[in-house]
Amino acid sequence: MLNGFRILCVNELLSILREKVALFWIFFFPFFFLAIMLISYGQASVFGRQRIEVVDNDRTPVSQKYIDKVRDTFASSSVLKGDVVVLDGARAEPVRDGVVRVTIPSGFARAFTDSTSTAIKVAYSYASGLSTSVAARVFTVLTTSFNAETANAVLPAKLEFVNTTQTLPLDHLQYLLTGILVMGMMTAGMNNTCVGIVSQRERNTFKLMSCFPLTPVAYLASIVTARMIVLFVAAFALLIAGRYVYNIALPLSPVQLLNAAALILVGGVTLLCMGIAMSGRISRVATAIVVCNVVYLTLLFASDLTMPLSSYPESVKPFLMALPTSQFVAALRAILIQGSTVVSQWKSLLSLFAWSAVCLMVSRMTFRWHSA
Amino acid sequence: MSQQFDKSCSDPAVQIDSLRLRTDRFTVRMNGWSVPRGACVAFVGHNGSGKTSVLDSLLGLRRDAEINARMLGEDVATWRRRSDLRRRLGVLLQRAAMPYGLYVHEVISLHRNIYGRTSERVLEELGITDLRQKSYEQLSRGERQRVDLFFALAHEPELIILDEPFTGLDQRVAQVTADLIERLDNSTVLMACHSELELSMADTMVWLEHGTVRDCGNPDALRRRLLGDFRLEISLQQQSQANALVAAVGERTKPQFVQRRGHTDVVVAGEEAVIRAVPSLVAPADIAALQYGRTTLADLLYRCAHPEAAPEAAPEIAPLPPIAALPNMRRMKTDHA
Repeated sequence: MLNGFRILCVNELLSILREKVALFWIFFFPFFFLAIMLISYGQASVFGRQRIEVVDNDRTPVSQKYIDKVRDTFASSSVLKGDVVVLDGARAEPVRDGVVRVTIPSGFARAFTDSTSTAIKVAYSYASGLSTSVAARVFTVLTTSFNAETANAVLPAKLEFVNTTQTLPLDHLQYLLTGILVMGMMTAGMNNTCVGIVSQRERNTFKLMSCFPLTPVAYLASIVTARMIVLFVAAFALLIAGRYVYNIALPLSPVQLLNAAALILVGGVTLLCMGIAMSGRISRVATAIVVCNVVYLTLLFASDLTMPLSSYPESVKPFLMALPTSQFVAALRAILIQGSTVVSQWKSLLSLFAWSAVCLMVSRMTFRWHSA
Repeated sequence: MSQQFDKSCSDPAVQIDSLRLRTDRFTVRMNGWSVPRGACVAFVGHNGSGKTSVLDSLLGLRRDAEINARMLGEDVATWRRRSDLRRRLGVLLQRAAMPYGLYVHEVISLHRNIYGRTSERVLEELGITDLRQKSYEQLSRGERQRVDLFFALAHEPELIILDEPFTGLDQRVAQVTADLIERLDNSTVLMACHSELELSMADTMVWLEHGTVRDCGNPDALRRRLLGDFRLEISLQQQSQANALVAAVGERTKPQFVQRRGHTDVVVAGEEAVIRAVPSLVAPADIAALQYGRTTLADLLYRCAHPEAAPEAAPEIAPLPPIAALPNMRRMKTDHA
């Protein structure tokens, strides 16, 4: 009996080890998810790490003391950690999204000795997200404290907050709705296309269909068109539900809807092309599911759909911003929330077209109707 | 053995000038082979002998096949390119399913739309009407085979390629299908087969062994040549007695075919005199049962599926008649029936 139990256990272990989907969820996903969470939310604080850029135009011991105060504050906070970087004012680039830039004016030290007034400029995008706003507002308390320590309750240093972008701040629900819309389109457009094609290949349906009086292109086009229709219906159902069921502030004018429809068409085509490219050489549905999960989760967490890009290290942000879903969701937010037109989002459209073209080229090189 | 069975067929339905396909175990080879229009050709052989590979290569489903062949006067490469040509083709593949999620009535509609015509007679005779409201995914193996056969036959195509058409069918439906195919007088049929009924439809049988054509000809003629007219099946009391009989038959009577079936049964096939001599090789008390009869196409299939069963001293295979000499065999057989 013990021998039988041993063999059953070994067989069961082997079957689990041969099941790629199970291996993915058991051994890959928890590590991946933990890594993403640590990147997004930091390792010891609530808001994660925030980049603080300081431009010191005064270059005096007093301004250096202020900078040290900034460093101490963000180093000792248990809520919001900050990476404080001192920039050369002359070479400083425009303020990037998700960054707080503090500019100490020249004459800063003199204001303290002369008891005159000076204004420290705190610049950030008001649409950057909660942690950036909190970091900027920390300077109110920090500067008051510095004034008290340095000038004995006289308040020579004042703060001037500057919005670095013209965009409206994004409501958390608006952020989620647009992110989830693209997420749903990824499922319908990319995953469903990839798994659907591989399933037809595994069942030898393509093999059979190639003997019918149908062109392969017609069959592939039918797959793409059907999914495009589903994708459109799902996207608009979500928008309508978001606006009228969940009462998310979404100004859905006919013009905005038309612009959004045009963008959804382009974004949908890109996702479908990605699905076709991913399915190119895969012959087993189980493998396709694993590939889809890896790509889906990567895009879900790394392209500003559910986790703000501002949470990621500066070095990886340009790469993440280049992802098709990042471009898609950025343009969608601009159209639906900021009221932009689809034409004004030409950079994102160009990027989506480029991704589609690359995926089609990959498909052309790798696609097989059947495995024989 | 030469495979150039027929170079003289003037307007063949299928002509394979050369076919070479390397598999992981052997290389499939066919050269100078043609099938006249209206013929029914059955490919037989053991599992993995290359039957499906030949049919798949003709259909352009094997990328690695080096094939120079024509079907209904058009190069096989043209068949792959021109979808309109494929209206003249009906195909049943092994382990190939219709698109996921369809109901049978949607499969019928798909057929009607892509072929332009759907024979009500085929629909009725295969009993597809009763399945209309069922999901294709939920059909039993036999029901699914009926739907697949419907899709291959309902437009009464000029060229029909069937890979094991009767697999999963009950005897009644198999007979109905055989009758249906035999009535398609203008169609040329190529099929891979494993059953006696399938083989009985064929004018010509091609015996494949490890990818090469071992023999070819009219199935009945091949039966007589390879097995002789008579068979004897002896059931013995013990396995050792069966072993001894097989050895003795091989040495002393030189039959055309001797085969162990199960532990204690032996089948011997050959001419009448040879068969009559076999029981004398066994003590009467050892015989549990004895059955004389004529060899059948089932014996022939068994023989072709067990190439190792051929005795060392099996007669050399005689030169083959050209397939073109047999164009009316199918009609004759139908008339006779």
